[in-house]
Amino acid sequence: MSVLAFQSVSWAPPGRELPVFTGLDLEVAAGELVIVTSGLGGGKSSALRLAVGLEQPNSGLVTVCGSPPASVRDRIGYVGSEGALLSNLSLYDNLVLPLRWLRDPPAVEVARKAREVLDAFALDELPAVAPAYAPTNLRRLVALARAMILDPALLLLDDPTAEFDRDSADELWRHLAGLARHRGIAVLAAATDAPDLAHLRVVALSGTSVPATRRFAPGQRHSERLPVQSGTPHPDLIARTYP
Amino acid sequence: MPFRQHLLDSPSMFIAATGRATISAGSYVLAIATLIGYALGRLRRGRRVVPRVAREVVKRQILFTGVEALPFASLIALLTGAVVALQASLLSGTTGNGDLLGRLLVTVLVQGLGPLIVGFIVIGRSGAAIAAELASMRVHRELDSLEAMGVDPFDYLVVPRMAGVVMALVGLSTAFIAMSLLAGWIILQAVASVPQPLGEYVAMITVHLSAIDVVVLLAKTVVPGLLIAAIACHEGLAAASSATDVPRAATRSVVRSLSAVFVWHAIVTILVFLR
Repeated sequence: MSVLAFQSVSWAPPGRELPVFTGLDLEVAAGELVIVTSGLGGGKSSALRLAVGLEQPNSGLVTVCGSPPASVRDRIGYVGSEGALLSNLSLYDNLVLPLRWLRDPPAVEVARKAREVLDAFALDELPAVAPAYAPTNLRRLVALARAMILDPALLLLDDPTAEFDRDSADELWRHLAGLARHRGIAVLAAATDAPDLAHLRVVALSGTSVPATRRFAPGQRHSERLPVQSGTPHPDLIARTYP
Repeated sequence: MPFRQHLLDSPSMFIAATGRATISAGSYVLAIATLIGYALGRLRRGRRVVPRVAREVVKRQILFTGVEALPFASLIALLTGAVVALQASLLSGTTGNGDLLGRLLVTVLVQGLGPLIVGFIVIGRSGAAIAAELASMRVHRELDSLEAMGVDPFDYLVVPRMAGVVMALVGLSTAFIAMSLLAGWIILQAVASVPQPLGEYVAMITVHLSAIDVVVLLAKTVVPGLLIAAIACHEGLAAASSATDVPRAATRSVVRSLSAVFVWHAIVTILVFLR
């Protein structure tokens, strides 16, 4: 069963008539890492914001675990394009904020859970500083760890490797794919370029009209354009699977 | 065309502009009142349902608005108390135990200048800081991040700040009044031919303190605290997504808070006069 489902979703920014995408159908199952790519303004970040309920579709339906995203936020881990750690909290306080706000467990349990998610990203003790005084890649990793602290069913990552060099980025992608697989988390990530990674589903958005998404058979090489569907003048979705 | 000539030529335009400004001011007052009402409604949920992390935000706000402002507020309190005591002494014609002197000190420092000056200090330090902080959070999409985590930005950012500012303003005003009265006694001893013991001075002040002074003091601290925090939060959260909106939010917060606090103090003073 899919954790995240887009059903014929169209979305245009407020005050703009031309939609960024229309007719988007996409499902992400537990344990799966799906990457949505597009050029600048192509809608990949918007797709993630729809999935977490920060934006509402103009038409169509977005569900997480069968419910509207805004009603199941404790089951979603979201990392925006800038990571968006709170500037007035230390790295550690940022890390544990969702846990303390939504579940308010005893301090011992908070510390245990923090250690668990830090270990998941191979992070040692966090320096007791505000995010502005931490390196950008550490900020990004803390944001990722924070998104994991509530044991989410769905992880939404907007350009998670933006601050990393090529090798580190590839390593992080592999790590995310492993996390998804081993913990059964559905991961939808937005990226400008998809990494060269096995067993990866990539959904490319471009233009204003998006036909149904499609999974290619294992072994079929990437960059195959979908056939034009009836009533859809511009096929804009490229789905590809790396064997 | 000069503005005045323009008005003379088109009085209907002047009336229309005045009407628009009135409606705009009315909408703003309504928005702030709604924000305060909503926040008070959230506070009523009680201690058990408020996460500890929200109480930490309240404590940090009290520390910043109240405790960290204490040195500056003390300096202003000492100077104000000394000046007011000297002027009251001139008006009453005494430097020691006097009915008029005691009444002047209580009226001016407890009901008038004390809460007003502390209001100004809090507007300048905390109101501007809150507005800039929230506007900056908005610019950097931290509010989206909070919402996406399931943390209600209103509950996490606005409600604790309002509670913290109100408590800090009440405490800081009390400390300000106590220090200004003490400074008044010190300066009167310096100019008096016959020194007045501190006990007599305190008795002279307390004999003129009544329940109405306490009510007025609370009215001039609790409500301005709510107004300052609500206006700062409103301006911060209403900022657009550009870095230049951060200082604009801070400036608007200061100007509007000053207007609101002045108007409120005037209303309370008139009500006390009409009593």
